[in-house]
Amino acid sequence: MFCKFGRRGQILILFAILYIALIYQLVYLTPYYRIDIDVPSSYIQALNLIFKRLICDALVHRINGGEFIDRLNLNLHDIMNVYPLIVELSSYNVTLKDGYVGASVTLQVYDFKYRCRYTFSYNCCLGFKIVNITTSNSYVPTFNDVEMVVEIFGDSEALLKPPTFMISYIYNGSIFTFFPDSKSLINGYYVIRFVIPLNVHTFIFGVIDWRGVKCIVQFKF
Amino acid sequence: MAYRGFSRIIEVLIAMMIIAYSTITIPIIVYDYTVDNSHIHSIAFNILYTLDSNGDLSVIAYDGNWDLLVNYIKLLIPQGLSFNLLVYDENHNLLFSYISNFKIFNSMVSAPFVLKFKGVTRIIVLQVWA
Repeated sequence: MFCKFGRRGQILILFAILYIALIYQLVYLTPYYRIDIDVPSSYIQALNLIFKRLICDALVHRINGGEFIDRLNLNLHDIMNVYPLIVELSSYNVTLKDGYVGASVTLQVYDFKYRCRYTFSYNCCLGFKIVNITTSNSYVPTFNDVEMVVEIFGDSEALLKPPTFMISYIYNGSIFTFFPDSKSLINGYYVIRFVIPLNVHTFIFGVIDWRGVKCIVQFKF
Repeated sequence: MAYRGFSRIIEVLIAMMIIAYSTITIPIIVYDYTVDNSHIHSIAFNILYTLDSNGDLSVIAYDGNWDLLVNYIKLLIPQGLSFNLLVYDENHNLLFSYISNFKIFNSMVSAPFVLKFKGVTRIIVLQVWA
């Protein structure tokens, strides 16, 4: 039987389809272009980096003789002055020993801008192992040539830039400190060459990364 | 006879609705994508994050090499966006400012970045507008 358009509810069906399409637009498309998920991610990335830097700064302060927790609290206070955040220190641990320094910190961050809470954990550390050390007669009289191979390790940022090496020794009652030349071998391995007086059998070897984190060890021949 | 041409009228109405729907919706999506403040905000933070992810921003701020920082930002910022760079110390004293151009803008986003490096505090504020 022939049926003309509009007689048996076709118009209602068309309007129903249109209605569903509009609801679909409202539910799916509107949030898609109104909420930009890139904003929180870049903001959190930046925030994460800022916290990482300030923990390293507090560790550097501790290495130089200050109090880690005082500096960390001061740094967190500065952050809270700039960002709408409340930062609570959940736990922290600082290790300073021969050839290794490190700080582990866990923070609870309440973000008023995005109305959410983050838990950040950080580990800032630097250490080294002396792989090999050889001494030989120097062409400079009364001096020894020393060649050291050391392995440097640390957190992901420690070796972003080449570290600086430091040698310090006491000779005739005076303290001599210098920064010897170094050459990078493979992943974290460096060879360092320097000369020290023949009658010096003890020296302090130090590694300083680009952030100022420094670890030292006293070495005896 | 009463229904003669009725389907054509419905088709025309639906076609008009579809066209109207497309013309309203599509420009909104494009408009929001290009000059949305949240997107510019994301760009500003991404620039600062990119600069500091390899430590360059911290070193530049520590050395006070602001001209180099301006050059880096000029390289990273997308074409068509203008920026204002402000650098403060820990007491919020202004140390450096630079404005890329004085173009009139409707709205501007501000991305602050607090740097703590070797005992030195610098607050770098990158303001960006389209």
